[in-house]
Amino acid sequence: MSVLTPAFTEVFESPDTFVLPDGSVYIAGQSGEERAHGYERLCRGAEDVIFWSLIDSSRSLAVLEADDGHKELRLRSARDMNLFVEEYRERVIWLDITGLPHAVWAPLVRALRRSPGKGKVVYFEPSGYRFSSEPTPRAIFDLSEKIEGIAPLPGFASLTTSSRVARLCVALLGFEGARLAYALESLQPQRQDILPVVGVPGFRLEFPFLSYWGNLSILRDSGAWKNVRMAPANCPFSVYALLSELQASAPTRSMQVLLVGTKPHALGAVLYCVDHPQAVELVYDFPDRRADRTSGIERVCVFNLDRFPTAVTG
Amino acid sequence: MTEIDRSLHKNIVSLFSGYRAEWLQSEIFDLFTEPDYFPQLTARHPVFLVGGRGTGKTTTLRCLSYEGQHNLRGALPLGPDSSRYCGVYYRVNTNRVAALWGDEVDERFWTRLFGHYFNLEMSEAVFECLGWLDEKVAGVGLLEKIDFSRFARSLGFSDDGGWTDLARQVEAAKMDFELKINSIADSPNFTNLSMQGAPIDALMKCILSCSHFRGVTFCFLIDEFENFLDYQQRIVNTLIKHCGSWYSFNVGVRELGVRETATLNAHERLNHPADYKRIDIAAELEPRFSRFAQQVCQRRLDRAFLESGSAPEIRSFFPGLELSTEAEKLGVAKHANQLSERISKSSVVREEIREWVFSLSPFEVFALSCTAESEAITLEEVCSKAKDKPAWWKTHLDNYGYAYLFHIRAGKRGLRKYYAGWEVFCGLAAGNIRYLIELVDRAIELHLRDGCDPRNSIDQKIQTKAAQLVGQKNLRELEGISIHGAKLTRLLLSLGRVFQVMAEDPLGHTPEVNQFFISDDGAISDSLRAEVETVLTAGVMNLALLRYPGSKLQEASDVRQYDYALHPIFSPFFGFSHRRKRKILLSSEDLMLCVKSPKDGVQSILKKQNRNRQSGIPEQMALFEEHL
Repeated sequence: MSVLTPAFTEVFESPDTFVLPDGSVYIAGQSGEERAHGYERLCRGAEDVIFWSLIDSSRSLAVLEADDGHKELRLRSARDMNLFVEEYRERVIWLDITGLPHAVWAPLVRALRRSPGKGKVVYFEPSGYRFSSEPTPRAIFDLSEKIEGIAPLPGFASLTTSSRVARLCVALLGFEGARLAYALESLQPQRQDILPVVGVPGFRLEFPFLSYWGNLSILRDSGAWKNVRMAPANCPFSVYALLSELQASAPTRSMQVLLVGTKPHALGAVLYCVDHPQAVELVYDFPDRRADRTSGIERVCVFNLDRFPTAVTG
Repeated sequence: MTEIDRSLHKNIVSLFSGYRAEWLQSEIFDLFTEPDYFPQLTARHPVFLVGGRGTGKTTTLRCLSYEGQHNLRGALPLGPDSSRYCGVYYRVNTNRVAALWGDEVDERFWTRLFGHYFNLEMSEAVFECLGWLDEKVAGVGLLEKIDFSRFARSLGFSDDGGWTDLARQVEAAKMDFELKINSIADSPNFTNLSMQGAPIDALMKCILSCSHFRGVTFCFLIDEFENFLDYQQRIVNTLIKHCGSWYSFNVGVRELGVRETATLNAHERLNHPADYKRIDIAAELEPRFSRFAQQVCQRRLDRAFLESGSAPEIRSFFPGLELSTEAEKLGVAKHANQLSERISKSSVVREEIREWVFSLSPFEVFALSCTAESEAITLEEVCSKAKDKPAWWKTHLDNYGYAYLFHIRAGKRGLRKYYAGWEVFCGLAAGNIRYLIELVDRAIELHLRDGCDPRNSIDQKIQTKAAQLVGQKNLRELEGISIHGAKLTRLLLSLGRVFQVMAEDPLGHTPEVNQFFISDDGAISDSLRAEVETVLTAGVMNLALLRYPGSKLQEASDVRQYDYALHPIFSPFFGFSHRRKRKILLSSEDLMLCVKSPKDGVQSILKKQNRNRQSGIPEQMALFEEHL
């Protein structure tokens, strides 16, 4: 049973309280995280489910496997993505972003968004995060193993906005301050243009504080702490609304959105970028995630893209 | 605190806390101090401005831009009174240039695509400049006099609508290009790809053929050249090599950021000095850095004092310490008294020697004891030797005196060494103006926070604390400035700890060791060699390390043939000498051990340096204790 949720989102307290409808198409990725296997509990008891599992991926290609074959999706091919979605015109597609890399799910979200009435996004919240050290300013996160560097997500390159116009830099914060620092070092926004977004409420009560703590030095040194905004950590639509609001307040300015926080926040930014490609430049650092970075499964979020009206986008 | 003091306090904090060019906005021009090399940048010859983060590349390039020149001199790049120089600033955006790569097409095609994209980018930048100029000289119809047909043809554009229409066509072409790049795997038809450099040449010819612009030097100011991918550097190199007399390039790049000197022609390279002039900012400023830094800071201080009377001289804010005074502040008298007592009771010391010792400063007495231990002779012997051979003693003090300072409070709690004085701060910054302003900013902040008068000089203890905090902050920031940040942090922690232990235990050892070079007994694997090169290169590019040509330098491209020093900005945090002095040998394995397991790396190196005793971690390093 779903509990009180933001609009367009259903939150289930446990994977066992939700059963996938018969005839669904389910796309998920494999990872060492326990929550990335949450879909197995969702699919239990559902009939006629076509399950696509990501078995390999790069920046340009995703290889998916199902019971009756495999598929290669070129990530910078609108044609591949649209054909894949169109193939299941009569079914509902469930895209489980929990274990999928951003480079794979973002182009799929675009295809779903452009095929209204088709898509739902699933996300399993973790019970906790395992850090190599505590997320304090002194912690050493091993970036060299976790970050490949700033580059656009496939299909989301933004080449048109003039680099000379000062843009708003919206940073969707996570725990790893070094990732934010690296992104800001690369982009070099003006101090007053940095607008950090903290996930409040967090997946757990203490997470927003950890987020502040992890990003403390850069927030303090840049003075960006004064501009902090908040959006529920598991709500992409709140991020979408926030970006809409920011754009409305300064229509001539474009935004750079740093995806260094939760996946639902990143989903909100991706959706906004799909709807307003000229207004937003997505910035991602391609972290190489540790297999055991999270533990357990908390709640399941279902984001109903099919109900999220394009009219809201303005 | 009076109202004036409060306002002064606020002004000082605000003016010194903006030590990054991108944080200064329009103040960047007001606060700009022209470095001595500035005039070299306005010549027609391409220049590569090479320097680490914070050496002032962005500030300099932005001040060279048409907006900068207008702000600084009120100059417009046209007319008889113009500066005749028009700089067009362009920062290389990693997030964009990285889009132009992937395995969907081969490098040959990416080369064509990037060439076209760069044409559009430069054209857009020039049109923005023209638009700005048109506003400045409104009513003259300046741009209507330019015949853009040649440019329009080079991009397949129509030239019916004038320059504003052409600017719109450039924008539309970029949008079209973006769309195609985002679905490049669909093999979109990239029609009308322009020839590399052709539209830029054409645009420049069109503009410079107009009488208003005749004689103007157009220069593209390319900042953060290192962000280009390798093949893109080759393309831009080609443009720089062949830019001819119509326009030029000034390039801002980090040290080692030029990864490619090749051009698209397999037989030609971009050569210095034939094709460009290289200005190494740190080397260029080194002899005059103190004066330059003084000008930069004084300018800010003068502004802060605008409403509060005349500003004091910035140097006077930062009094230093003589060697013997510093030693006394560190508590050398306690050691000296014990030694004097021993001398006074010694039956083997001649009376004249005893009197001579009593006439010395406490620090010299302490130095005598250090020398005795170093040379494994008795205190009495060293006293006689020093008294009888004053020249030897003077040279010895010159060579070892500073190193002995680190020994006074070795292993003790609290402050173990002072880092104070304008020249010391300049030494810590090592030619990096951002570091210098950071040091000044932090010292002033602590001084004011202590409730001290903004007009008074800053206590040496506060200066030292500030220097430690700046070192700590930059160490912490290393994590986030590069994809190799965590490796660099661990390398610095390890080597910093090694040099700190060695500094505190100088007796019988080479003094003031703070550099290293890499040498291996036998052959090492290619992968280890590559790992070492990656770390050293990243260290230099991100100012964790400074490098100097080694004594056996044969091949400039071999990073292993250089000597390396931890950047002096980190020395107060760890507690070793900031002065560039002596080096130790490290094996590739030891270097990588420091990166992978700092504790083991530190132990291995110290053992080889015959330092078996490790003193406690200094208080300021306590946060990192678990890694050491």
